[in-house]
Amino acid sequence: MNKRLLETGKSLLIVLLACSALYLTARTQLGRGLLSHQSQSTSWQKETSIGPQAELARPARMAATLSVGDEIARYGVQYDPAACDNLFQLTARPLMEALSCAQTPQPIARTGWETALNAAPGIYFDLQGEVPLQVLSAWLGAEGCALEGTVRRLVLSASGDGVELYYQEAGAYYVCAAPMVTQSQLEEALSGLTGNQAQFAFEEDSYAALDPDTLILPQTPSLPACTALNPLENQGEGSALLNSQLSALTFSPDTNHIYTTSGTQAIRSGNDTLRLDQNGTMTYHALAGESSRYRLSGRLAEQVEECRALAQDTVGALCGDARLYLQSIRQTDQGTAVEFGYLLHGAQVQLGSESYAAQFVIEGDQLTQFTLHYRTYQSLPEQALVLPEVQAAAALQALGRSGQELCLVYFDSGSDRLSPAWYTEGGGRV
Amino acid sequence: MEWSKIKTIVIWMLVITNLFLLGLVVQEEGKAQRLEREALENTVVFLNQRGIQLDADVVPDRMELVPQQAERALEREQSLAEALVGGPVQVDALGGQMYRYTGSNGTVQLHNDGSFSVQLGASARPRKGEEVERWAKALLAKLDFDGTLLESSGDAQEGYAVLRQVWKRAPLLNHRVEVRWDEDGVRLTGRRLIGEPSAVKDQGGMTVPTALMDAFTGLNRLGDVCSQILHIQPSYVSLSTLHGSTMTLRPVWHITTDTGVYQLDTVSGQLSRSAA
Repeated sequence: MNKRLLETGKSLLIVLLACSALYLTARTQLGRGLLSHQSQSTSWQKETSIGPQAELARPARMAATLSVGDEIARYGVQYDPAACDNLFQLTARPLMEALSCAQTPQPIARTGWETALNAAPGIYFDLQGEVPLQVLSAWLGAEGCALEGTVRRLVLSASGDGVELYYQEAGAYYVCAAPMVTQSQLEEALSGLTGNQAQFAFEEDSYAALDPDTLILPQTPSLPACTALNPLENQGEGSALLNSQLSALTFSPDTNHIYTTSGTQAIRSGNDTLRLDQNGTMTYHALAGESSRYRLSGRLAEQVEECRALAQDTVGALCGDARLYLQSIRQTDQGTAVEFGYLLHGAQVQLGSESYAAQFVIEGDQLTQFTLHYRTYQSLPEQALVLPEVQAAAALQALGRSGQELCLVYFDSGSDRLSPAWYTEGGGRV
Repeated sequence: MEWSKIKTIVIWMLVITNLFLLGLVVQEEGKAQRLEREALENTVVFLNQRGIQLDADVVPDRMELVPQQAERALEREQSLAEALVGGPVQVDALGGQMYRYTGSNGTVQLHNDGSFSVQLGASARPRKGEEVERWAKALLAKLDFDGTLLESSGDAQEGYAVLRQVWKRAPLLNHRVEVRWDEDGVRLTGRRLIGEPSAVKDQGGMTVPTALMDAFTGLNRLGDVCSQILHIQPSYVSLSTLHGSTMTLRPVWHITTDTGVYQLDTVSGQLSRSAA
C-alpha cells in the first residue's frame, strides 16, 4: 500500500515538474519566440466608427458653428477628405439619431436656414450629391426615419433647449424637431475644434455673386495634380483583373464567351452581354423579357443600396485616390437612373460630357442597364495652381453668371493628367 | 530496470531542468527590467536636454492599461432602468438604437454610444443633510456607473454635481455625467459604459519610454512647447461604432504640462490637445 502511494506520488511529481518546465520554457525568450511564430497575430484594426455602410454618406464639405464665450466661431472643411471624414466620424451619430427621431418637417424661409447656420452648436453637412433621405437614413442606420424627399445639404443646430434638423429640398427649406438629440451631444462632438474663419457666401459681401451656400475658407484650396488611366486597358480574356470585375458583375469567368468587334470586347453569358470599349466604359443592356439577371428588392432605399454595392465593387474598387458618391437619382424615360460620381480630393470629377462614374437604370424590380466608366486616379506630388476664390467669384460675376455655386472640378477628358479648375454648378468653367 | 528507479531518475532530471530554466527566467527578467530602467532614464535625460523637465515619480512604472471592448447589454439596461426609477418600466424603441424606459417615477433614455439622460421625480433628490457626493454616487451606481466627483454645488433642495466614470481605477475621460436637482426633480445626462469590458487579445502596447518619445514628437508636430510635464494619468477613452453595439476603450495618457493638457493614444502614439 505504501509503495503504491509512493509510486502515485512520484507520477504526480513528474507531471507537476513537467508542467513547471513547460511553463518556465514559455517564460524564456526562446519560448516566447516559438509561441509568437505559432500563434496568429491579429493587428489592431483601425477603428472606423461610421462603418462601411455609411461610406457614401460621407459629406464632401462640412462646417461646425462653435460657441466661443459670447461669440460664434466657425470651423469649415472642404477639398480635404481626411479632415472632412474626421469631422464626420465625430458628428455622424447625432445626425443618425436626429434622422431617427425627426418629427414632421415644417417649411421655413431662407432666413430661417441662415439663422440655423449661425446657431451654436451647429453642424452643416454638404453631401455634394442629391441623396434621398430614406437612403441616407438606411446608410446611417437611422431606423424609423419618416422623412421623405431628397437632400444635399442638412444642418443640425441648437434651437432653444433642443436640437433641430434643417434641410434643403428642391429649393425649399424645412425644419424638424429632433427631440432625442441634445445640445450637449453636439457640444461634445465639436469639442476640441477651433474656428478657422470659414464663412458662407451670404455672410460676406465680396462673394455676393455666388450661390449663398458656397462655403468659403480663408486660404485658397490647394489640390494636387493627378494622373488618370483606364485600369482595364489591355485586359483581355483570362486577365485576372477583368475576371474580378466580371465576377463582381455576376458574370462567371467560367461561363463567359468573349469576343472583340471594332475594338470593343463583348462578354456574353446566356442572354446577357457586357461590352467594354477601349476607353474603359463597360455597358450592359438587358434584353427585354429575356434576362433574369439583376433582380432587385422592391423598396427604393434597398435598390439604391444594391446599386451602391455594385458600383463600389466595380469602378469604386479601381478608382485609386478617388472615391464614389451618390450623385443623383432621377426619373428618365427608361426608368429610375441612379448615378454615382467620382470625388477626387473632395472635388467632383467631370468625365467628358458625362458627370457620372456609374449609372444604373432600374425598371420595376430589375436593373435593366448600366454604364460604368473605369478610371484610376493617382495624385502627383506637385500642387496645382488654382485661382483664389475671390478672383474666381469676380470672374463669375463678370461673365454674367452670378448666383451660381463655385466649386473645384477635375475635368477628365481622357487625357492622362488632370488639374483642378473652378467650375460653376451649371458645368461652365470660370 | 524497475519503473520506480526510472521514475526517480526522471524526477531528478526534471528538477535539474526546472532549476536551470528558473535561473534562465530570473536572469532574463532581471536583464529586461534593467534595460527598461535604462531606457526610461535615457528618455528622461533626453527630454531634460530638450528643455522638458520630468520627475521620475510622474512617469507610470509600466503600461498597465490594454485596449478593451464592451458589448451592449440590452437586457441589463432594462433592469438598471427599473432600479433607477424604482419600479417596472415600459420599453420604447425610438430608432437609431435608442431606448426609452418609462416608469412611474421617471424616464431613462439610453443610446448605443453610452450616452444617456434620466429624469426622476423630486423624491429622488438628496435628503436634507445627506452628503452630495455619496448620494450622487449611490444614484449612479444603479446605472452600473462608478465614478469620481469632479465638482459640485448646492444643497438638498437645488444643486448640481459632475462625476467622471472610473473602471478598474482608470478614469474614462469622455464619460462625464452631470447631475442636476431642483424642485422639479433630478436630471442626469452623460455617458456610461454600455457593458462589461474585456481585454482585446494580442494587442501589444508600447513601452513607457516609447510613449514619452511619442508625446515629445507629438508636441513638436503640434507646434506646442512646454517646459515641464506635471502629471501623467493612464486613462481610457471610449469609441463607439455608428452601427453595431460595441464600445471600444482605448488606453491613453492624460498628460498635464505647464502650458496645456494633452492626450496620448498609447496604441497609435498620436498626441492631441485635450480639454482640461
